[in-house]
Amino acid sequence: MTASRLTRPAISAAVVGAVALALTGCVANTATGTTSTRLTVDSTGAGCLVSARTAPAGDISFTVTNSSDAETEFYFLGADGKIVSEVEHLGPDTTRSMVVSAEPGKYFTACKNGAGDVVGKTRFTVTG
Amino acid sequence: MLANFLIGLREGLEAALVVGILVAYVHKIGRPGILVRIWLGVTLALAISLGLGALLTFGAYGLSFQAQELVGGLLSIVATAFVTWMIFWMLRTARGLSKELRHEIDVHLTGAGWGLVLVAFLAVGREGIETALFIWAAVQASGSTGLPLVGAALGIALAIALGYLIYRGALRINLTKFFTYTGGFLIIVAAGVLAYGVHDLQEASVLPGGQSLAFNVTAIVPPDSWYGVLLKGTLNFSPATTWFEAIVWVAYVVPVMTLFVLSVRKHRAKAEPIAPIPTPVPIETERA
Repeated sequence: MTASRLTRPAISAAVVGAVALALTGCVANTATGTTSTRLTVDSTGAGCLVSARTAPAGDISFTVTNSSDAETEFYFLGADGKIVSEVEHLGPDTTRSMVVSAEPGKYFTACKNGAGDVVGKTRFTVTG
Repeated sequence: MLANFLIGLREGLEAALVVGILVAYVHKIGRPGILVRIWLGVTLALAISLGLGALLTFGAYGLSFQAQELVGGLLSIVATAFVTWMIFWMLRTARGLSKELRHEIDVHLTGAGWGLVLVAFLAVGREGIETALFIWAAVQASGSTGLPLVGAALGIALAIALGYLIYRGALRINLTKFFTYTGGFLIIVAAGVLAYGVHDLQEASVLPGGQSLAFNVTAIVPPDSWYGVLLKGTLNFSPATTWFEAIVWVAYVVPVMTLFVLSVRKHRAKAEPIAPIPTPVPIETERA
């Protein structure tokens, strides 16, 4: 096994992958368009306070701030509990945004605190 | 600040250790000239990660959650393949070294030029975007408080310092021990990276079973404890591990470690006959 036999397909695959992701993986950083909502999330370690529990279908922007003294994460979960989108590695006193393009339906919002526990899991409804 | 410090340490540790071992190896085989390839890989990974991270943080578009997990997951799996290749490549090159066939080393090095660049690139870059997003968030926060950035920077600095210590330590031990220890360690690291890749792909819902846990020891190994951070940072140990991750980990470690141990033994058996014959110690005869 020589390096070139390994690297050539790897490089080709990487290029194809990068192009595919550039085409499909981009989302607007700030919710735009007519059906857009901007919400804030306060991840406190004990809770997960989202500024609203409903939003119309379309782009929803979550601006997540970690006000705890440990690392946290924020999840936007489907009705089945699967992750639709998440913010990872959120250090104390830092803020990160996430935009979700949501279809009408039932969802959950939740945070993970430093101890690894999921806290503040709350129903979230996207209206049609 | 402590939590940001721990994130920085965790995210930088594995890359620093792999690069430290790689640099020690190049010195061991007496070819410091190829160090430039390793640093090229590291520099490229840092530049691309920080650049993309800045673009995604401050630009108009971010990366969707699925895309981010796909990038991290696929790069991790590719990184496992390359680190595995590197372990066995090191071992083969070492054979040339023990046989004093120096030109064999150069033949191997010529063939592996881009391989070395890629190993260094992947070690640093596989979770580079994720870490860059964390760093840029800390930079953004520095308008109101500088503590997150100071913590993150100190954590990454400690990771680099530990990588340097591994490098210094590895220089001191003899060649056979070096290959046995670093090879065995890198196999466990690579297995963790592979399981992590599976985890990312499970989160992106590309692979199934993201919610069926094999074990959950979060209560014993809290992710925010110092030992939780070290275990995650070096071996990618996740206190909540899915069945898919656990099975992939075992399915990688068992055959690769077996093959590695067999190769090391074969290497030793071959190397022994040409080991220098101990010079006879003159026996002092008692003078009467």
